[in-house]
Amino acid sequence: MSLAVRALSKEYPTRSGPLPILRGVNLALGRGDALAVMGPSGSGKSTLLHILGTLDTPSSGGVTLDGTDPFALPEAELAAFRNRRIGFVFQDHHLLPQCSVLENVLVPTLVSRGTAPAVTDGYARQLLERVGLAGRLDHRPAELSGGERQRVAVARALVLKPMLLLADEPTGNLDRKTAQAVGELLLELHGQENTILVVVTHSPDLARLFPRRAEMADGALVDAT
Amino acid sequence: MLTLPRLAARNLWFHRRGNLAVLLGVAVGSAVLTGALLVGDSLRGSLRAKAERQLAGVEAAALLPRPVRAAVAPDGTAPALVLPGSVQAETGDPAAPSLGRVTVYGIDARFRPTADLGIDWTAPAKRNAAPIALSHRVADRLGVKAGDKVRVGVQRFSDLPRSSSLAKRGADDVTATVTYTVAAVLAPGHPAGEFSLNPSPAAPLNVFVPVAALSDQARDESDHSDAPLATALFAFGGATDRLNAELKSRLRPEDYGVRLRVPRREKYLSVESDQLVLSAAQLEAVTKAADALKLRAEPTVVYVADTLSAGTKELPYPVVAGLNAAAAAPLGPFLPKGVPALGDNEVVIPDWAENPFRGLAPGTPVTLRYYHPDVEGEGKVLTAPLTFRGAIPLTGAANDRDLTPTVRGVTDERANLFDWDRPPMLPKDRIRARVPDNGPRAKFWNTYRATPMAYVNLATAERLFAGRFGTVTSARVAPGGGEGAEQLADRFGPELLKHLDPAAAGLGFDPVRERLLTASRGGTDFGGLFLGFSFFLIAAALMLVGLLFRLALDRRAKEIGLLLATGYAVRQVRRMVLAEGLLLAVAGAAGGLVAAVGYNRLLLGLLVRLWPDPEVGTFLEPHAAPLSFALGFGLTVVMALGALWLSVRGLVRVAPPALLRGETTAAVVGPEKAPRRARWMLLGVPVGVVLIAAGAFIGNPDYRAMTFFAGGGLLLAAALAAVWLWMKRTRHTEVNGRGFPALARLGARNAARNPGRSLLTAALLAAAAFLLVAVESFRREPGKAFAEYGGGSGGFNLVAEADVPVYERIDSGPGRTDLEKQLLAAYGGKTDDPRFRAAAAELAALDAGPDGANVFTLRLKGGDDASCMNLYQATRPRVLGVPEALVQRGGFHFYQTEAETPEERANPWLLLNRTYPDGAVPVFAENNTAVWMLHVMVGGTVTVPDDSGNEVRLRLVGTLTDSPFQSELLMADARFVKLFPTQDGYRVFLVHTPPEKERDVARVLETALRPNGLVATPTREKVAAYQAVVGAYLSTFQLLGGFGLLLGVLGLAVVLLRGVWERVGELALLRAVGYRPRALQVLVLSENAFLLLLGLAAGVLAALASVAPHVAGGASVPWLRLAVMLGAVLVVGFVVAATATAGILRVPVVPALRRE
Repeated sequence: MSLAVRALSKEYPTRSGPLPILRGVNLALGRGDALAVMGPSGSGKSTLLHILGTLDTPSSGGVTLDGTDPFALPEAELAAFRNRRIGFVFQDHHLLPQCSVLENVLVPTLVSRGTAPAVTDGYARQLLERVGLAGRLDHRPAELSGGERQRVAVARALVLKPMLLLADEPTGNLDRKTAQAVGELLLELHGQENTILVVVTHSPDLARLFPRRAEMADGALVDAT
Repeated sequence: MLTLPRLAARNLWFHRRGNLAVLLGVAVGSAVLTGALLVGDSLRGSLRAKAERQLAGVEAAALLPRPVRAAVAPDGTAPALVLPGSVQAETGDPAAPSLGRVTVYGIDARFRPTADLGIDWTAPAKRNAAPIALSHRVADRLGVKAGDKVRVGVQRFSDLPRSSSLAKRGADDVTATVTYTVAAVLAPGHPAGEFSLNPSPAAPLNVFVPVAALSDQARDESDHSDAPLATALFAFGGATDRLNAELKSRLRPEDYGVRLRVPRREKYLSVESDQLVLSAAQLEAVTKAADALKLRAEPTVVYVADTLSAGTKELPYPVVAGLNAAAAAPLGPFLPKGVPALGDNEVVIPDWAENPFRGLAPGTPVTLRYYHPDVEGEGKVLTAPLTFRGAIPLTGAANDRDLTPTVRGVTDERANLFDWDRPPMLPKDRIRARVPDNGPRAKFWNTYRATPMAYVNLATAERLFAGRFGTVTSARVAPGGGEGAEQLADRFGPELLKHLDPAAAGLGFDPVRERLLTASRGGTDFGGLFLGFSFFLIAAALMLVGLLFRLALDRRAKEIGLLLATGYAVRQVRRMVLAEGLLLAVAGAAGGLVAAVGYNRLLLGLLVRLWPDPEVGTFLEPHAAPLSFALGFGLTVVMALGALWLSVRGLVRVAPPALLRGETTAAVVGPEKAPRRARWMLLGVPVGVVLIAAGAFIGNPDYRAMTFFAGGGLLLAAALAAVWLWMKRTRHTEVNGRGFPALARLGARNAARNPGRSLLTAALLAAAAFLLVAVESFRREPGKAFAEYGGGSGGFNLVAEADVPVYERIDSGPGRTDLEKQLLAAYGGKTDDPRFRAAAAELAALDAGPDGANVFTLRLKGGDDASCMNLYQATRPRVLGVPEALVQRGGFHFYQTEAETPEERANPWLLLNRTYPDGAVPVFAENNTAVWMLHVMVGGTVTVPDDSGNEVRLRLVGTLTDSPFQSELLMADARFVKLFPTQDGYRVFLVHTPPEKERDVARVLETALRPNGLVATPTREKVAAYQAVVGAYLSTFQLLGGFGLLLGVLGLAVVLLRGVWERVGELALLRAVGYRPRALQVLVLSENAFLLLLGLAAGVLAALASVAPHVAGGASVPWLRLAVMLGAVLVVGFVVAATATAGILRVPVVPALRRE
């Protein structure tokens, strides 16, 4: 499998003792798989996503992506790994207000090695065309609607053709119609790019779009498909 | 296309408001740092420019130890007779304005600085009618203008040392006052008015007169020559070597003070000194010249004694000669028949008609009473037992009146025995009483004049009559075969010149311009000093830069989180952010360079305003060296980058998800580690208290000061550690209650939300407050104890200094009589003048009281002013010779000494009489002078040249504090006269008077000794002026520390803003639940007030603890000023905080809540 999570646990030390967030999560996903993770607040969804995205580290257990244990990498290589293999879409789009739409998509490429700038630039334009923003390349984030901003964020997440696309409540700030459109776009692009897509959401509507769904409960991941 | 540099540039512009604040912070740091360096440049540059103005084009100068013929001046140089003196407006009123410490230049047309005045300096003028040009300072203070008359007093030359028993020492003999007509008043800034070769910022008081007139005025009354004299040769160009070679070629033996005299008998050549006794160098040159010419030379000592007696027979005032009695003719012999040589302490007496010793049997004891050769003050009469060896006929070599050197008025042909009148040893009335007209002594004088009346061998004479100037009065040289004395003189002179060293005789050019320019680099590294003063300001600016940058970065937390989340390595993010910071630092530092110019001007203005000598303001101007800009720029960029790196370091440690949520500090999870370091620092309380308490018992003041500061520093650290621990506490007291107290408590709690940030701010405020308070307590003014015996004044109200020495005690004996005569002369010689009577009555204050003398006279070797008033480097400090009476008296306040024995501890002045195996001479100095000007500690050494030009090691055995001796070093008089034998007489006077008489006695002394250029100053005023300099430095330090404190307050405002920004949602929530904006402001301001008060309290309390022993020791702390200063900081802090928070509290509630 391309993404393998084995017995993943995460706990935080507190004054009252360790607080377990994830308890022995196991997960296996391959190229083309798409998983929606649901669950109540505080169930550990985001923590799982952050660990999958190497933004946080597990207390025990392991994660491998395409056979690589990212947590065994030194910091600089881990960052490069994240840059090349993982794409993020957050609830808040986190676009740089000082950059244009195209530039925002290109932000991850600035520290990426091995791809010519012209190639990434062309691909970024192509992605923006695919998300329906071909005519808004030079616009600033402040000039876009919420849905448009999230589509830019999706394009940014895909610009380096990651193996793993992670989305944390990608439609949480959007209205229902726009949320539906963004969800469909995510799945469409996931299909086109053949990524592994993991989405954390509270939205049953979004979750329903996914062929595979799971539920986080008390730190454990239960298949709900 | 987007690239990292473009992204960085885009960021810079997008976050321009925050970046501008950072840039301004860096600019402040750069301005302060560079400005401090520019102050150093300005001091050096101004002193250099002043030095160049002072020199008026002079490159080299020969400053001669004795007057020489002006004709020796090499081509292209200007000879000048330069004498210290005094000037008084001639109005007929003794109280007319007068000035001492004036430099009188006797010049001719070759002196370039006065070339534009159009005065013919060589035109013959009647005495009392010669022209004079006055510098504007002199004219202004005297209130005279062109055409007015002024009286100029200068020291009169003497053909023998004034302290010799044969020298005249009366005020009229020592000084000469002549009237001149003011021909010109020099405009301010005129080169001649500024002319001075002294490395001192003091304004010169110059007057210029024709060299012929001044030579005539200063020449000994009995000297009837008329050649212009010079004591200085000024060269306006040319190499020193060439000038010295040319000068040497023009010198004659008399220019070295050596004269060749052919006696009447023309049997030999007598080589004599124009100062009575030949110096060792002169005698050595004569001996070498004689050896070179294969001639015999016999050193001869001739001395006028008091009495030669054998039993009841006595001979008054015998001239005694010491020589080689066995010398062959024509230089001898002086032996009775059958006596081959004279042994030590044996005497032979010429046989003459009324010789009282006629018939005395050989072997009879004879007593010689004689005066100690150096007569200053009361003088001493000594007695030597001799043995009569026999009589010799008064013929041949023995009948030679030329054996005795010619001393005008004493031994010359026109001299009269009764006119000797050399009190205190040879008062006229005593001579007359002892030498009746028809007595044998008078008859001998009338027939044989100064022919010796007794002979001893050379060794005996040298032992008995050895003075500090030498002993040998002549060297008699026998001609070669068939050669006459005149012929010998013709060939001996050139040979003698070969063996006289002009440099050793002080007859050489010095590169004075080079020396003055070197001194203009300053005695203190002002750049370093002001950099030190600005330390807190720079630190505060850097802290502010760090805070502002971090504030700007915090607002970009999500952006940074995104970059990290999309695969940017921490290093890449840090590098990108630091690249932006570098650009800001470069731009800020560059901008700061411009502001540095203004800052430099501000500091200079401050210095001029605070400096006690207004003259400093006339030459202190801004200067700037490119190196200072480069250093200021480079250091600022490096330090700013350091501050930025620290700011970034903390932020990139925060996990990306937290950053994406907008969190800017690493979440503290789990049980917190106990801040062990802070707990250890609490030990600073007992250790600090012990240190401070122990400091009171430490003798070494430097260690004591270090102990106090270290103790205070530990207390400060402990106080801050306690704050740190409080902020880190898991549980704080529950916040409850209502209204303002509850809000204030909540505010204080909020200060602990970000302990590091709050502590940094409080620490800066505390450190600045600590310094302000500690420094203020070191500000000094002459206190109550100052006037006491053990105080700074040593119990002396007045310290007086004369340009022309006084040779007698002025509180008793002939000196006191002379003082009254001088006073009478100042009042026109009218004894019935009530003003004179009143003034003379004031002199009674000088009389010795039951506690001892009220006046102590000190010798002075002139040199550079080594006090803190002199901005130039003092390379050759002035030296005072302290009389033994003062050493035994003791007194004054010592800062540190090398005293070891109980006696030395009781009276540290005894240290001056110590001897050291390495020959070092013990000296005292004022502590500030030693530390800041001479850069020497107690136990260290400094070197000064003695009168022979040899470097002498002086060991600092003690330092005084608050004394009037801040310009000089002090050594025992006995050592002084050995090192500086040519420094005749006394120039410094310590006077004790009843306090109410202080001003009157000062005025009377100045009036009586006006020809000596005496200036009497109350010691309190003198010391207060020095302390004002220290005060100027302290004020500057405090002001800059105050600026630092202000930046700290601004930093506090930034911290506050940052906290508010972080909690905008929380504050909005409080508004949503019913808090009014004013309540929120109280909440926020109480947080600010808490940090402000905490910082100030910690700093002030620690400082007060550290200076407590100092205050207990009598130092006065200006509490009011301190309170005002700290109060101002509080007010400014509140105002800044209120202004800063006012805007944020107006943020609309709903968007803020939504953002949250």
